[in-house]
Amino acid sequence: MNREQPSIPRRNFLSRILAAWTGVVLLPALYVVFEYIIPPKLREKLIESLKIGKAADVVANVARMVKFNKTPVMIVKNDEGQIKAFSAVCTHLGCIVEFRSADRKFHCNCHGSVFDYDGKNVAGPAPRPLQPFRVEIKQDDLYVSNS
Amino acid sequence: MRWLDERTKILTPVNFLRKKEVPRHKHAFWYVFGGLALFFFGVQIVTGVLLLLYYSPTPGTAYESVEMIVASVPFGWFVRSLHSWSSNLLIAIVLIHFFSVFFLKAYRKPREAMWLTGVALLFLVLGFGFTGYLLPWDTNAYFATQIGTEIPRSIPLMGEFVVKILRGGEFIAEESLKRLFALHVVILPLLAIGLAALHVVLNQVQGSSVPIGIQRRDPPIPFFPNYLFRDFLAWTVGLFVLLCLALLFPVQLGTKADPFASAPVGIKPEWYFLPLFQTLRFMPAEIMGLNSELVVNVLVMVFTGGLFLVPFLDRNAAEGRRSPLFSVLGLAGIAYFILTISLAYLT
Repeated sequence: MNREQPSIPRRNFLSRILAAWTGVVLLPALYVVFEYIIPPKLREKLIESLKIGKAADVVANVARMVKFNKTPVMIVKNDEGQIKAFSAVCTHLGCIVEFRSADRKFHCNCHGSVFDYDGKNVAGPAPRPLQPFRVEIKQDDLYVSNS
Repeated sequence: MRWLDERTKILTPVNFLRKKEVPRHKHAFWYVFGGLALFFFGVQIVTGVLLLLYYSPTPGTAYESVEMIVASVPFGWFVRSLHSWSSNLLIAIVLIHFFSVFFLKAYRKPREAMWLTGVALLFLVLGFGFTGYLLPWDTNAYFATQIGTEIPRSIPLMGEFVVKILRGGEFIAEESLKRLFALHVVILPLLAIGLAALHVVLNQVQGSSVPIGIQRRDPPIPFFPNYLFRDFLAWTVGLFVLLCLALLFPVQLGTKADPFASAPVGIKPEWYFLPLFQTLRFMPAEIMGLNSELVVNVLVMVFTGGLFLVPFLDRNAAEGRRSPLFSVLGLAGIAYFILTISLAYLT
């Protein structure tokens, strides 16, 4: 044994072993916990087109809400008979908008955003227009699909 | 007692408390709010456990279970009212305690650790308010959670990830309710109890701070039983106020949440989130080309970081000198708080 090289005191050696053991056990455990709390992507059957009903049943200036996959979609018809569909989710912070027939605009009651009949953001803090959905009429049946 | 002490050493902390003294001066009244916060926290634990006996955390049963508690369980409406009002009083008392510590500069050396644990507890208490709000699964709860969990989305790089972790998925659904329930009844309580214990122990070890400029002339108040008596008096007043509120203004249950219905007109969060609500309401869509939610998120993070660092930023207080700049900042904070809450209710 080389007497000039100091030996590591036993307590320091045990402390290092303890720290290493903690790291070896703790790090994988933290990794497992981290992966666990991230929600898994579940395979869901998504529809591409939704049959709403008869186009003639859509009343002018009265919004109708339907569920398209997990998105609430609002269907409106103006006095000229033009039917449009938009996601009812406000582009600000995700509240559900309401259609007011008085001014024919979509209003978000959470923070005051307003969207016109074309879904364009015209007032309030909403940064983008409402997401439009494609409307098709086939033999008087109304279909809504992703645009 | 000797038998007990031989086996538990209980006389060590008891003798410590017997000798503990609290400074006596004109601002000593503010010391009572810390103990009052502890009292309301205890009320939350007791009433929360009672509610837990009947509550069911799924979208299909949450609302109905709360309805059952209110309508069918003996004194269920009372326990729920106590829990709801006590949460509001707890947050109010914690804010008063926070501001009193801030203005009395009690965060200065050597009490920086008490300040850090105290600010962490303030945010934990707000977290309790946020996570508990969704549990009845009524309309207001649903949309408040929708907004609250949407705000972090604009944080660069990790926004989407944070939203998914909070919601348990892309939308507010069953996974969200389960996560917020787990946070509210297990994770946050464990953190809060640990931090509160540390905060109280630090207070016992460091003692109460004396404001800068106060000369200690009067003899201190013995903690036991004199100051403890004052604490009990404050707790009795707090309990009386809580009982009056719970009995005279029982908490109502709104309509069951419908994720496909429009947010109701005039929807607002609880009063302690109104400053953030009002700030978001008046923000334009973009500020200097940046998404306004991103700007608000950055401001909130800077503010939170700054709050934790107060003892280290206030060099005057650290050296025992008056610190008018921080007092002015505190008054500005209170003014902003009152202004935004008033605007939220009036507009």
